[in-house]
Amino acid sequence: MIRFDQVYKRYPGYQEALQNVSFEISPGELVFVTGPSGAGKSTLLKVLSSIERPSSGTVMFENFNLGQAKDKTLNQIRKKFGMVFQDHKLLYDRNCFENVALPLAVNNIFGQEAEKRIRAALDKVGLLNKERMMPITLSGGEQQRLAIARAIVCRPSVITADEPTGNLDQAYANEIMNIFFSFHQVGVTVIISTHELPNIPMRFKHIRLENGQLKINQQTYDQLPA
Amino acid sequence: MINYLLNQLESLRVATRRLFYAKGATLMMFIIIGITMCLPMSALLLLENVKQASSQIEYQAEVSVFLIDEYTKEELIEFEKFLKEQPIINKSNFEKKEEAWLKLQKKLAFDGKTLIEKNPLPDSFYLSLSTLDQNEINFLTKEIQNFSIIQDILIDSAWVNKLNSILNLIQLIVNFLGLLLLIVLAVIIGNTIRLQTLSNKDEIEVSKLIGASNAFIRRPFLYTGFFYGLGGALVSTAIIKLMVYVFNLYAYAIERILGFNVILNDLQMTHYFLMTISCIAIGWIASFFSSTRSLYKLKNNS
Repeated sequence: MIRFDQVYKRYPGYQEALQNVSFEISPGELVFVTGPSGAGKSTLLKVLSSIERPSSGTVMFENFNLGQAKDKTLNQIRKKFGMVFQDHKLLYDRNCFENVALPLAVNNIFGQEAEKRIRAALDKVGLLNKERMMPITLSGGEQQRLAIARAIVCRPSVITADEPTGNLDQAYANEIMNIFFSFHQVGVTVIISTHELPNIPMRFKHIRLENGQLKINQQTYDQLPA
Repeated sequence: MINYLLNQLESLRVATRRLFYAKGATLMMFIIIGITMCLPMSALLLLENVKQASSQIEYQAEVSVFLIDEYTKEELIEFEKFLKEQPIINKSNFEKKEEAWLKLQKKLAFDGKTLIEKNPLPDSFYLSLSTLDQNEINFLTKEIQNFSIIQDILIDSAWVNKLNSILNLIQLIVNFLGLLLLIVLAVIIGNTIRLQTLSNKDEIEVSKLIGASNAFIRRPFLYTGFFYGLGGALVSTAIIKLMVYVFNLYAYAIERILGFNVILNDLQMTHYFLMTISCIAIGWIASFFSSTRSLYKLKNNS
């Protein structure tokens, strides 16, 4: 489904954010991308979800080469991803319902179908009773859940989350992670970047980056908590 | 197709919400555009009124045709018949040289016999024309000159031609002023849209991240530009109509005192329609270029 082959990403004036990174992700996999700050985790997610193009190497998503695809194609590919960011990237002048409605508008889904999907997404993250509230009135954990609702409302085949629990306390962080795991369990590919590997009773792939280089690329089986 | 229309409707909703969200700024933009458009429109209003006044003068313009001293009655009848057949001649009046001579003496209050032995005036026709179209008049005078009994032709429309030339020059200046002010409008609207793209930067960024095309992001800004143009045109129309109304209110009072008509005629619907279309087009085009430029800049800065 997703294949990185000797991928480099350079920003002008900076050192290489990704260096010779190669890995594959199969459909329905749960993937954790770990590494210290500045390791290249966010860059990897951006390249993977076609927000940025690789400087060299090949990034394949389904049958598309993301490095060579046209802008229009990239827009279409991006619609297959549900993205969650550490800073939520919510629109604070719109209520919860309207925030979740945005991806549907981009995908030309309106009317009753849109309302049904928005309510289902909000219900999934436990915010159905707050659909008319403004994001600023929500707690940090709720804002992140709202961001997840927005990411899943178009039923993406891949969900990427860039340090989704970075600003949350442990209780909220567990809540958020459980939501991601529930999507993985219904067959959605979930890719989460985080500083440290969580201790979870689940089969997942672990990709570790340090200074832009791939250090670990392995399948982890049934790591049960101590 | 339905999805496309729904998408347009959604963009329209976003645009109206943005405008409504910043009511004060929106109203200010309408007023700025309205007043800017008022300048060339008022000039046009004056010009149209002067043109109408001059057109009334035009119908009173005359051509004087002087005949030679010796001609036959048949030649005169033939010429009179020709004049009657001409559609642009409203009225023709034949004046014998004796009559003209008496009139002149009366007018100048002198006894011709004491100063001049012989009547110097020829027999003449005075033609009132229904047009002052130079081509039509030239054609008529050429036709008249073909008659052997014609000595000279005098067209007393030169001053109207001069007036028309001045009006044409003023029209040119008004057009140029209008063009300049349309450019000013484009800059004002473009700059406002640019500021709007900056204040909606987060929304644009999120929309890009979830796969929105540039056209999708740009569309609400285009509608905003459309509404700016429409609102400005409506304000401008209201100002001009108010101006005409107030002027005429006082004009009636002046007319009562001075005894002559100084009514200002309103512009035609076509003028208002063209102005509205121009404002909307400028709003739309300025928004397109401004939002495209801003999207490009945001893309490069992200």
